[in-house]
Amino acid sequence: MKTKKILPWIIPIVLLITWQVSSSIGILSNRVLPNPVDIFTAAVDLLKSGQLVSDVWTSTKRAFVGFLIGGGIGFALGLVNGISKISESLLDSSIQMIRNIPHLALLPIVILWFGIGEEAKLFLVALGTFFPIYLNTYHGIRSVDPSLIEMAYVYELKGFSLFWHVIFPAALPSILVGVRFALGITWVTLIVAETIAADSGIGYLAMNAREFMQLDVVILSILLYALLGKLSDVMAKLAEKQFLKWHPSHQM
Amino acid sequence: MATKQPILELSTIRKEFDGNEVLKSIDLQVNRGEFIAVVGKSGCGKSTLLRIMAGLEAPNSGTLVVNGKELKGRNDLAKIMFQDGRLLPWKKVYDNVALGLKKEAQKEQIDKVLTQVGLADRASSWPSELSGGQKQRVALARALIHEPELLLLDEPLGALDALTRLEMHELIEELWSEKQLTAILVTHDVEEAVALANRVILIEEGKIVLEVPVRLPYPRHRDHPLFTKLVSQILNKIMGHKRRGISTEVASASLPAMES
Repeated sequence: MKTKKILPWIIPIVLLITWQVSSSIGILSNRVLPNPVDIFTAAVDLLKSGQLVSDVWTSTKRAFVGFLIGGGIGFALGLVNGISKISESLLDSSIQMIRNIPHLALLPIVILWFGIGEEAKLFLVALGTFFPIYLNTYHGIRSVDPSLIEMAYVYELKGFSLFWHVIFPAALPSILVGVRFALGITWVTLIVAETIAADSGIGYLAMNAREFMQLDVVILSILLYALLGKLSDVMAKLAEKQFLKWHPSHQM
Repeated sequence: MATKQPILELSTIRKEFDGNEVLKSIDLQVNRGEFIAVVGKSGCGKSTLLRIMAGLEAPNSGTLVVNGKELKGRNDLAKIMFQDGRLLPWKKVYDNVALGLKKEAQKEQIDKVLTQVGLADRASSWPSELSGGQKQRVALARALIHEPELLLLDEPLGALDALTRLEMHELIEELWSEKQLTAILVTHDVEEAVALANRVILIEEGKIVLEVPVRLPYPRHRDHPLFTKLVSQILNKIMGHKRRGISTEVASASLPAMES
């Protein structure tokens, strides 16, 4: 039992120690890669000045709001197209067409439209998260077992209660897969957008540090992105665990 | 004991799917309180007939009269129990039974029906945690809580093992007599039909080819001479069609032995 808990930590800890030691004895130059202690000190300094909290907060807010806008629209359209045949034939093929444009390719034009303001980042994040959530919601609703719908008809469920008791829960596993995909895309999009065009946020912190050759802060920013990305994934997993308790793959 | 008017009247019901005639011309009267079993080989149209009675399928021609009125759309008098149970996997047993009930439905009502099917202690289980027989018990409870006048059973025990089936036969028979339901059971198991129904109907190639009343007291003993006689009579009819060469005498002599 105990070894099982320790096991996943062994490699990261060994790596960290090797990194620190090779840096201390001079094998690894500080101009290539600053050592963990330096990065930690940089983090503490930035924390004290308040800059770290404000930049992380700015990025998180962008991720959250952009995800909410893009995911919300994707969910709504996936829902409507999953339920209504007319809406599906009207919209789906156009959406599929736009989907084939990599959203990050729009960066230059987004900067031209919005400058480096908040809108640019939100637009890109929203666009990036829209598609996975749209696709998975649509697909989830389309693949609801028709025999359950028939059963619901026998039990006189219709309209909202049909949706709430049968269609939505049936589509939920697929929707949550979309959410996890979208969260990954959120952070990738933000990294690119903030690095190229921003005056605040983690990406800006990194680019600013690059100009002053503060390699420790650059590494710190990269680690922050990794941490936030992992955190969102853990949250999505928790949501899955909570909402898909009924699913045999979540019962142990 | 029952009102004169039959609960269901089917006349010259015909149904086809893409030019394939599944039911040719079915005439059937179902009286209140009856337990009818519809048997036949797979693909003979027996399930389609049940779905028409439930209003899930509309006949191409012919009429279906429910309580004196021609049926349009869903038959609200009936609840159908499907072969695969069709429980909602994301709802616990209790909530599956509560499906479609009005908000003010009492908890006692649900507890009572769960007790009747012997699952009072599984109210908060997920369907995936139940055995096949338990799932069908939940499906039965879900149908019964609506107090339907007509209970339609579409091979509900088809996927269960032999012992569980016997238990379910007892349960269905008990509930049917206690609640004075009218029940129609579709099955491919002739013994099951004779054990439960007071009228067995055999469908072949979309037509009713045999109608046998079963006048045996409940609970029925499978070794009763009349029981085995009825089973082999129906089986003969089914098998006789399949192997035309064999005389009925030979078939009836060998079949009871096969059954034992």
